[in-house]
Amino acid sequence: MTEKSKNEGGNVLIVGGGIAGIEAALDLAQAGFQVFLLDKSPAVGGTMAQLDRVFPNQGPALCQISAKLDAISRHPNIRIITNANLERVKRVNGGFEITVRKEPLRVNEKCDGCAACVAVCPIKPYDTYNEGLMLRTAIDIQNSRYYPALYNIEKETPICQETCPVHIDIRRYVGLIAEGRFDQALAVIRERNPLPAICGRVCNHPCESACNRGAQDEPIAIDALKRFVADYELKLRKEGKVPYSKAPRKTKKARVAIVGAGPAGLTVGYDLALRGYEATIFEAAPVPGGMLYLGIPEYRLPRDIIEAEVDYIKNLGVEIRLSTPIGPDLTIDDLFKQGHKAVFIGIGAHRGLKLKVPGEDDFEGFLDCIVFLRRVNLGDTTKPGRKVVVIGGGNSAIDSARTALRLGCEEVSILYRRSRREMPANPWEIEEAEREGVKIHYLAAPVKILGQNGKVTGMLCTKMVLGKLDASGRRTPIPIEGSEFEVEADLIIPAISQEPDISFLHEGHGLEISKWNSFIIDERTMATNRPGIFAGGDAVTGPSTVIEAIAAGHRAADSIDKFLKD
Amino acid sequence: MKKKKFIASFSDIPTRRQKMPHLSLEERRLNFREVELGFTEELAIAEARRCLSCRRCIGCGLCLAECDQKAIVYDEAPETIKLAVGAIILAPGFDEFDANRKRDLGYGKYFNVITSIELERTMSPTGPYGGIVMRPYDGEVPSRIAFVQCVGSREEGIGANYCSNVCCMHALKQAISAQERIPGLRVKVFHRDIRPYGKGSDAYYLRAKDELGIEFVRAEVAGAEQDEATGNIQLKYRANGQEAREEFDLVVLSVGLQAPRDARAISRRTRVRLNKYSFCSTGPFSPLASTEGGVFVAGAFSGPKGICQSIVQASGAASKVAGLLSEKRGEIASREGGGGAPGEGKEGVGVFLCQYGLETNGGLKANELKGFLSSLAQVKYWGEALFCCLKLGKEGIQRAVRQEGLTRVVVLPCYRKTHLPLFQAMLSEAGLASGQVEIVDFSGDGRVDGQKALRLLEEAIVREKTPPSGREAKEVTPVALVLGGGISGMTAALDIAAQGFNVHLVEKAEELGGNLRKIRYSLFEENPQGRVNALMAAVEGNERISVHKNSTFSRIEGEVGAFRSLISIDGKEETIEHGVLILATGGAEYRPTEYLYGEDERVITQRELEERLISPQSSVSSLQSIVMIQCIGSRNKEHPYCSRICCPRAIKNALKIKESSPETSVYILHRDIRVYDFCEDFYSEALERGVQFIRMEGDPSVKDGEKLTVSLVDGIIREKIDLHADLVVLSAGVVPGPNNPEIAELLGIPLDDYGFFQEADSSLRPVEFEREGFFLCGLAHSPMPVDECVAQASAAAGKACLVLVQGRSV
Ligand SMILES: Cc1cc2nc3c(=O)[nH]c(=O)nc-3n(C[C@H](O)[C@H](O)[C@H](O)COP(=O)(O)OP(=O)(O)OC[C@H]3O[C@@H](n4cnc5c(N)ncnc54)[C@H](O)[C@@H]3O)c2cc1C
Ligand SMILES: Cc1cc2nc3c(=O)[nH]c(=O)nc-3n(C[C@H](O)[C@H](O)[C@H](O)COP(=O)(O)OP(=O)(O)OC[C@H]3O[C@@H](n4cnc5c(N)ncnc54)[C@H](O)[C@@H]3O)c2cc1C
Ligand code: SF4
Ligand code: SF4
Ligand code: SF4
Ligand code: SF4
Repeated sequence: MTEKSKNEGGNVLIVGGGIAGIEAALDLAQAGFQVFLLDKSPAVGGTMAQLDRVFPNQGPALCQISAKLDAISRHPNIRIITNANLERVKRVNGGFEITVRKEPLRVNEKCDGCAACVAVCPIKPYDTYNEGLMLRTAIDIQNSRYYPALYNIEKETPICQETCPVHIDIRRYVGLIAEGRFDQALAVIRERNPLPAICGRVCNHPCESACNRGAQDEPIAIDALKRFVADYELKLRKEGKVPYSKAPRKTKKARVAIVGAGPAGLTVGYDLALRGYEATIFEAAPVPGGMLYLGIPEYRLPRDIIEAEVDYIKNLGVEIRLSTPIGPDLTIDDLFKQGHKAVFIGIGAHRGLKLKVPGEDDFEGFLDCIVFLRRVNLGDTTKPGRKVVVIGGGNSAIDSARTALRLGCEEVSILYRRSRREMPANPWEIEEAEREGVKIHYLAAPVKILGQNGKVTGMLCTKMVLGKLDASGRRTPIPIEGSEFEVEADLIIPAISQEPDISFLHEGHGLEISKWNSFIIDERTMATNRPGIFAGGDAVTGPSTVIEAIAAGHRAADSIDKFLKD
Repeated sequence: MKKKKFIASFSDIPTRRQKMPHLSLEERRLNFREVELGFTEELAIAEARRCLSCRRCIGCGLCLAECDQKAIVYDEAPETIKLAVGAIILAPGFDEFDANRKRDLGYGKYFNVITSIELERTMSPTGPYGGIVMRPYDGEVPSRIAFVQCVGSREEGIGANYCSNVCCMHALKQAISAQERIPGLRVKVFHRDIRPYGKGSDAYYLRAKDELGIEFVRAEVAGAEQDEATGNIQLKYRANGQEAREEFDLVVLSVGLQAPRDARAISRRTRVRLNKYSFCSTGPFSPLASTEGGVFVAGAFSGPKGICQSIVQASGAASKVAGLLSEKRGEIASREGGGGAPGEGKEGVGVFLCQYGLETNGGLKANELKGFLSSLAQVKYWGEALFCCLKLGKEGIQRAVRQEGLTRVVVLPCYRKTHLPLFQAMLSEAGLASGQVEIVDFSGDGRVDGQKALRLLEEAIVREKTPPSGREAKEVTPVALVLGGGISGMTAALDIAAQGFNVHLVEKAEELGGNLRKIRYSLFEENPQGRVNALMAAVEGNERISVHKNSTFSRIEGEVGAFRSLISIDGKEETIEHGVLILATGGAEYRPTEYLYGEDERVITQRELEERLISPQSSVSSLQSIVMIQCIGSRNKEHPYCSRICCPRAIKNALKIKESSPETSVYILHRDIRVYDFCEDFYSEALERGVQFIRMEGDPSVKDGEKLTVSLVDGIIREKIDLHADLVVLSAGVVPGPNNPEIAELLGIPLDDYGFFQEADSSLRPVEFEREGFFLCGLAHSPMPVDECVAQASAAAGKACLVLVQGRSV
């Protein structure tokens, strides 16, 4: 054979060390290629190594696979990388550059397998190899029965922390609360979340859905605990027992402008202030908080809570200029001219989408939910109508309905085109709304707005069935022919979705905008296509959640910091 | 995360989640006061104490104190590894459906409702109960087990409208295994259709049903309730239009296969596209390729599949990669084996009996062998070991060899071929040459009785020192011979050529293309003809492939690496030298003799229907009623297997009819509708379009007249019905190639019970023959759809090239 030493082009990466990965590795290794066999779990073998047998008349599956496990562990052309995940794949001249992150095993090769550790370890997690039918210990020979029979300590990030978009060390703060150390618990939360009292009330808490305790009985009330420690401090502060700490010194010269005082913008301000930057937030509305103030109603999030948390951030030295919209009079370019070295755009998504049914622009009594909530939240509490129908299934639909009830509307109902299971609003909010008297019609959608004398009188609707999965994996609702029915109403509130209102941008702004009117960014750095301009929160994702906006804020602050240092 | 229901309570922590006080409904009226009032200090502390700290290491340091080796490093950091590669194979497998989403079936609520993978662990000898089938509730051995099929499969509502392929077969396997272990066990399988996927699987189904008395009930299971006193489970179900209830000791949910949790992340990093169920998207003619060049896929990641299919795909993907990177191949590691000098000194044989080897090999018992073994002078030591081949057994064997000074070792496990290198390596660590290791395996010899087993064992023990088993380096002719020029043969030839070897492709017809030339359209592929034509052109245009049409194969001699074959090409004899042979001679379509076929022109086959459907003057739209009859020439006495392709084909044609003529009634008379994985969507679509599926009991009959009359017994209502049809379409199955016996004879390879070729091992070595150097793919192996033929062809090509690469270094 001609001169052909190990060259990188002949290397192959196999992701997954089940029977498929193993077989492919063996074939390629035998054919003369260098193979990297990657598995995310500490041992290879996959599901086949869990099976009793493969065919009724054969021996144990484990026996069958053991010869293969033995072969891959001895083959000079195979390198097994377990406990590892694929992090990045980059195409380079014809091949790939791969980055793999290998999690630590925490027991090194000196281990002789004496198992003394197993006898003393007090922590007993479920043995996943045995499908949770029994327990093992935190230090264990995971999958002792097959390759590589290594000891390791499972110490990874708990599922709650992993799931939380800002990765708060939940286990730690919950533990501190259990010990009564509330101030320390709050400090742990603040490491990652600048708005604990707010999130403690309105966060959709994906961590709780993931919490392991949920499989046992019910998840830990992680969010309510956060609220508790935050409220605890607020109370003491009101009593003057906890003064504000001193604002960090402005050690950096660069100034940063932030557009929008929603959770995304506030987080960027918070992070940059802590790092010694001078940050100024420009806010169009007369109040800070973005949707927290303008969208979320008071009965879920009292205004003094928002003010207190905004004050906390202001006390770090962040300046907030209210009623100062960025627009024709003060453009983004002006901000740079004023000496800001970077700009963050966190303008949220405030423009309601059209229903696209006939009649929606023809009659009075038709009010988008964002407009409606904003009006109420800024102090207009006049009764808007008698019979109110809200269209949509998200949080803003539920909030609009419950708000309308509180304003004294006699009959409030919600129309949603899918079934309850698909409803994006938080289930506990749906439940409260129903208890308070909101009627929800599932699987129904508007066909036409009806009106008389320029005023809305009701709506023609149709019943729907759920059809096939669409490409996004959700079931598409399909109208049932001939199932039309009429609903009476004098106020219709569409709450279907929102998009960012980008009309403030001046001509020739040069920013890349998606077809949903949102800002296009690099997901890792949150940078737009214009150097020095970053964006995040609902302005990028469309309507999402507070905690996602905060997460975006953190990412943006990190890369603004990096940008200004370079 | 797996579920945790078996830990009943954590005594050290309070159970209930603390309730936060709320404003009463009255107090909320007409004001905006905050509704949720927050925890008090007491509630907060009580709630926080419920946290499990996730039962992961808390850093207490106890283990470090115990560890004499000082092997524990708490603060070891994650490591970032950079690799440069030329290609990627994605094989991240699948995740089981989370049965917690099916609370109504009692999972997570009742102890005695478990999933199939939990049963798999329960039955496993290394499982929590050492392989004894117990129920988790009280450790009782169950005497009535129910299996509930399709949990998390074939259900639009849960976002998984596909068939998981493996669950029917593994339920059968589990039922049979459980019966073997629990005498008198009663098993009921509640199912929709029975779909035992894979070669030879229908035989198991029939055996389970007819011989073992396992009951199969076509039913919809609606719910489960626990009897508080006994822990038994009452299943509520609907069968034959009636509600019923029945009590079981243990209920097993056959959970479906879902895309792996990480599918999205993998797709984001590698940019491969996923299908709507988040499995990796592939095409029927390219089942191993993702949408990204250089990124291949194998195993359950591209759709639910079993182990055999996963192995086929793995070898196929490896072949694709080897073709892509063939220029960059490195050193070939020498083949397994490698001789060694026989040990010096007095012979002392050690016999190791693997407990499971015994179980599967003629049911021998270790203590019965005791007397026999001690009667043989050569035996110096014998021992019983649990899992000789795993780490557990290994150390014991090595210790015995050293301590007893054994010079030769005989092991009795179960898979000779695959395990020999393992034992050789294990014992070379203990100082034995590889020739001194012998494995006894009876499984190849059919059923072995105790007497014969003893004889074989004795032979192995008293046999003279075996000569070194290492293969001498031999020249390998780096050429392949492929028999059959259908889709499988063409794919195999192209794969081998891509890896840099010359190929002779021998086709007996005057054209390449085989059966597929007759397929006009398919469910997943708009233009199969275009695909076949492209493939034919690629084969004919490939300079490494010599195509011999109108040719037959008449003789072969030599052995692996150096075969000489005689081929008659257009009547002229020619000798071809080659290192390997791939058999891809396909199968044939069954020619019906039943239901007036050939007598009445209104009775046609699906293929003839297809011809009509594509012809511009398609006459179908004028018809009122078309009746399709499934399983013609399949699943009967003569051909007791499922042909796999006829259900999707009938659905495909029914949809085509409905497309052009929605008014025409289409009936499909079937025994089960067997459409696997993502085909299920088309089945649903056909139902939506009004195609009528009728499950029949027994065989129907067809009478002529002004209209054809099809009479059958409806399997649901159990009544006889008559259908009047303008056209009766027979779904004729796949039968073995007519020349199979002849070819088998010429090549000296076996046929299976049905007349297809018999591979070396039905699950682990699906594309190899026992005879070295011979490989198998496509319909010659068994009936299968195109994508599987293509994957198998690549696999066979890949395995064949492993032999051919040995020739490159010469
Ligand atoms: C009714 C409703 C209820 C919700 N309930 C929840 C909930 O329970 N839980 C949850 O997690 N999420 C909830 N959300 C979503 C959540 O509020 C948003 O996802 C989050 O606030 C987005 O944060 P942001 O910083 O990206 O944008 P926003 O909060 O929208 O803030 C953007 C800010 O930018 C300002 N601005 C816009 N244009 C300009 C300009 N040109 N110049 C200067 N300033 C400008 C706006 O006035 C606004 O203050 C709810 C949303 C609504 C509408
Ligand atoms: C209950 C049950 C019973 C079964 N019984 C049978 C049977 O009797 N016969 C039969 O033929 N088949 C059976 N099967 C199917 C069989 O288990 C599969 O066919 C086979 O395991 C598929 O192999 P695989 O290598 O594709 O995937 P897997 O076995 O799932 O292996 C995938 C591997 O990839 C790793 N991985 C996943 N994601 C990543 C990532 N992002 N990065 C790195 N590594 C990753 C995993 O840790 C795992 O090791 C059964 C399945 C189930 C659930
Ligand atoms: S890590 Fe555990 S098993 Fe390994 S040497 Fe230390 S105590 Fe023994
Ligand atoms: S693994 Fe962790 S919890 Fe277990 S003994 Fe060691 S330090 Fe303690
Ligand atoms: S029990 Fe829940 S909250 Fe506690 S660590 Fe585990 S996942 Fe997190
Ligand atoms: S029909 Fe398919 S999904 Fe249902 S149990 Fe059988 S193999 Fe599984």
